[in-house]
Amino acid sequence: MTDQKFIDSILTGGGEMHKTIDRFYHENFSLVYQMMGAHKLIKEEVLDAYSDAITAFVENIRYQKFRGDSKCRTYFIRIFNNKCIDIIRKKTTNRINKYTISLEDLGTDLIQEVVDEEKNTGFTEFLFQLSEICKELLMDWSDGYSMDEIAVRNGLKNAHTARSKRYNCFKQLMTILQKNNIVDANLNMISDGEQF
Amino acid sequence: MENNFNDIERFFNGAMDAKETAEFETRRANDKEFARDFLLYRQANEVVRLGARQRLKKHLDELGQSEMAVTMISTYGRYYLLRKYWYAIAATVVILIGLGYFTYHSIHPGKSIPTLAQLFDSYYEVPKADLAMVRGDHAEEPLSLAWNSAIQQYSEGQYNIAAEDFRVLLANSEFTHRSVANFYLGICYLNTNLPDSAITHFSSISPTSSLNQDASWYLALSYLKTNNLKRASEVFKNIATSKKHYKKEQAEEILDLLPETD
Repeated sequence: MTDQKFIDSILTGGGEMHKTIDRFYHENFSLVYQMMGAHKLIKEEVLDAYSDAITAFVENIRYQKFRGDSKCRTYFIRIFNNKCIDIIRKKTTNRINKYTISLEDLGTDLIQEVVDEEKNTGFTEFLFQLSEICKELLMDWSDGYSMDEIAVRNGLKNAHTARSKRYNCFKQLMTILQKNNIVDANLNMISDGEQF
Repeated sequence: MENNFNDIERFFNGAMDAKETAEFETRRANDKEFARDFLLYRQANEVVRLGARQRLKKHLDELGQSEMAVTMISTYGRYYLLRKYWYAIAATVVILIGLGYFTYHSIHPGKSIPTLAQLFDSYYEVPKADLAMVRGDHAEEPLSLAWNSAIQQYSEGQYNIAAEDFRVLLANSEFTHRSVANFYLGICYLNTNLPDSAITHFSSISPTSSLNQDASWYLALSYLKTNNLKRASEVFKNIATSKKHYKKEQAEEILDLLPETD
């Protein structure tokens, strides 16, 4: 698969995106062993970094942070390598060898992303307050599945039902966020001059 | 919030034209409630995105576990087959070596290492005693009669009786053929499975006796029979290094077959 086809499949979202991700995962799995050898990390750590790197890579494509300026594999390896370095840095006993990229080399954007990611991960607890079907339906929608696909995946009558269900579920989530003053906190940040 | 939701969703989906977008931005800047709903929508969208991200991550983690399991199974399978394969090779090699060894020794059977007893049996021959009979004028004298009787018994294979006759003769101080008597008595003892006694008598034969070479040969054989490798080797070496010993070649053969001694 060419890089452009790969990017197009990710941007299409839904089932096609997930098939492409799975294939990419398997095709590049040898990198896990390479990183285990290169950084002297244990299997579980590298596996975690690998899936984390693929998730980040896919998001960067979907949200247009990666526009195909370098080869997909090269770009992915950089992300994966950085994830492995993060693990090494967390392990005080691990000595970083001369081949390890310093944090400065990662650039401020990536560092900021990591910080934001950690801050935002806590918000998903609000999603888990929804019913199972609501949660799954909203995540399917976020992943770019069509309403027809969402209906089939979640056992709904048709796309129209799925659309209406999605609307209700999303409103439920907004209500939960409102009740927890999530928006007020962000509004204060806006009034303090921060952009969103 | 109801109306706001539809507008906000249209904005996020990119369904607004430039005019609508400009109006949307103006409203967002001036209407605090609208701005809150906008932010709420955006935040909810972000929460769902993070949830989907976590779901994808979980799915990939599971893929990793199964991939590792497959890798482990395939690695195990490879090693298992390899091990199985090497066992087969090892077994084949052992069989081939066994066959080769068997074939080689079938073609060259003489190269097996004999025991000392087997060597004794291979080389031992009972010396004839016909010429030892006393003839002539003294044949009727008592000692000569006893001698001839002993030799007769010996020739007929009556080794116990012959040995007794030889012992009587040797006990008589007037008996002069002591070396010959000692030699045949030694042979009698070898034939009656008393090699230690045979050694005593072979050792007592005078070095100047005409039976000296026979005595050393049978002495060496007696040591073989007693399983005394060290002494047997010494005597066979003496025979082998002796220039004119009539058993020189046989002694060399035996020394080649004997194991090394310290």
